[in-house]
Amino acid sequence: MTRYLVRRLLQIVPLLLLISLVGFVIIQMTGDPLAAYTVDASLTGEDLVRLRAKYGIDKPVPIQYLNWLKNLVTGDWGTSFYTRKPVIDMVFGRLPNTLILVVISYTMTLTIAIVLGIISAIRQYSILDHVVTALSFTGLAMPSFWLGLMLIVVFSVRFKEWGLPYTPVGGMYDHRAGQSTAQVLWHAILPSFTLSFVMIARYTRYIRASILEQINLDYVRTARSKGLTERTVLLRHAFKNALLPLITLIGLSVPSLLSGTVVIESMFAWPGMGRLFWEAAERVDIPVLMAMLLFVSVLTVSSSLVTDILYAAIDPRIKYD
Amino acid sequence: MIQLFWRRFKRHKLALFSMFVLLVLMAICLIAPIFISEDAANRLDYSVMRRPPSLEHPFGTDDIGRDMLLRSLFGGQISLRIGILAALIAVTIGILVGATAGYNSGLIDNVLMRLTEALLSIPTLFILIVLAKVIGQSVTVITVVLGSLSWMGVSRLVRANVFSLKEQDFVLASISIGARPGEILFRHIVPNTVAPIVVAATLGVGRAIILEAGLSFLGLGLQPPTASWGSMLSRAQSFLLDAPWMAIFPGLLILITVLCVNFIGDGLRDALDPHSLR
Repeated sequence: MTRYLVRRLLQIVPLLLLISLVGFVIIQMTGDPLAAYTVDASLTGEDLVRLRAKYGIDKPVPIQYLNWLKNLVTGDWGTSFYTRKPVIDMVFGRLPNTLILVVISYTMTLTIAIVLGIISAIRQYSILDHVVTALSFTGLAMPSFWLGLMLIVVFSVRFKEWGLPYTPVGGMYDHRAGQSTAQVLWHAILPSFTLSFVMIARYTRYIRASILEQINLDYVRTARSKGLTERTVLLRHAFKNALLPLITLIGLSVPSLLSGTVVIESMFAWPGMGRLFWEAAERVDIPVLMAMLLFVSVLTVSSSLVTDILYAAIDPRIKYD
Repeated sequence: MIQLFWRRFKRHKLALFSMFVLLVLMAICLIAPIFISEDAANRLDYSVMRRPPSLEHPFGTDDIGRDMLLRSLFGGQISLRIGILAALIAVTIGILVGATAGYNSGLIDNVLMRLTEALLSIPTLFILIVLAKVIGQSVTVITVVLGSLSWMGVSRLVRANVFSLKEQDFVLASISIGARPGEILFRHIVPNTVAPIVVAATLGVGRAIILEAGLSFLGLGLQPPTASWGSMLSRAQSFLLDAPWMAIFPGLLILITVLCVNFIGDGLRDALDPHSLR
């Protein structure tokens, strides 16, 4: 197992290097970081040359990449071209905001999906089951941002018209009320729910299928014949086995969740990392983009590794070389 | 064989119904343009801006007076086309990569699989955002890009199937009469793995449609005045207060289309699965 771990960890570094290299090259192609400045007539050609030298983008691309890498290894993530603040501050400043959304989403998702999935499975073919299945199918067929728009229309726009308490449309908190936990949570409801809905649909179906599969296995029949109450049979045996594969699902969902936050944060004006990425892409703010690329890649690769390890730790049947 | 498949497919009432609905939808989207020119759909009429659904404009009008129903139809044409073609591209690449990897285990298999994993590790949205700026935003580009990012799942499926199939006797028989590996692969093995591929392709269409909608929504997809359901939704964002129907209908159409596609995929899976006896 340790050998497997070491092998995986050794594979991570070249993979990350490759991703960062490819990413760097592609970013270079997207545009000129100084594009905004070239419109300003008061800047002469000399100024632009000077700016380029200052930012280090006058050098050939491989040199730029190596410079970036060199800085990174010494802990310097660079300075944003746009805000001229250290990139670390920018990225990690926004990280908590995105984390809030992500944590709330995952909590919502797991709670709702597990409950619905279990009930659906236990009472298969009941009306509740049919409703849940129909909703799941709908959720899987829906673009999540459209759901966000619909929620805004109903809960922010129409509720206000009808005089009902309405949810805020954007931002993390109301500037007049100041930033408090209650404010943030209130503002987080719609975005988190939008993020979660598709996940809830997918996980509910998966849990339901997984539990149904377990219930029909022989060991459940054995447990029942031993005289255990149905509750014990399900809780102590069937569910544990059924929910295990969920770990893999969750681990694999991390990358797509990050893409989801880009859209949702933009739509709800939530100041998180997704939105930062979007803004940086618009402005070709290379240091910020590279930092985010690195961050996301590390997250993806490590979540995949952690998932594998967790799975092996919990399921005694799994052995790696 | 085909009759057996049809009989089993017809048992799945929901899938049948979905296929019908989807065919009707596709027919409308594809035929309507013959009778109504694209100009009519894009005709601006400032006197009817932001009207709610009515008899004259069943889906309402948008912010510059275009009829939403017609725009939805044209948008549907484009979204459907992109979805289907992208899924086809993804499946083709997936079959090629998966079959090659599965048949030639060893170095080729390893290399191809590492490549697949590496591609999976790169955050998709990142690539999409960057590619959109670099290559440009046309229907062809988007189709190719979407297809090139979705083939990984299919290739894994195909590889697993090829692995198990290549041990079978009919492969041995083919080798013994001197068939070349390419022939064996694509004439004999791959046709036997058709079932999961078809299912994956169908579900892939749904996924591609949603992806395209997302891309256009972010502004990375098609540019105005080309309509697709996604770009219509993007435009609708600013008018949620005045004209929510601008957002409701395109999204609803996406929902219905993808739902039907998913049901058909489910029906196909049940009908083609040799293990289920129903």
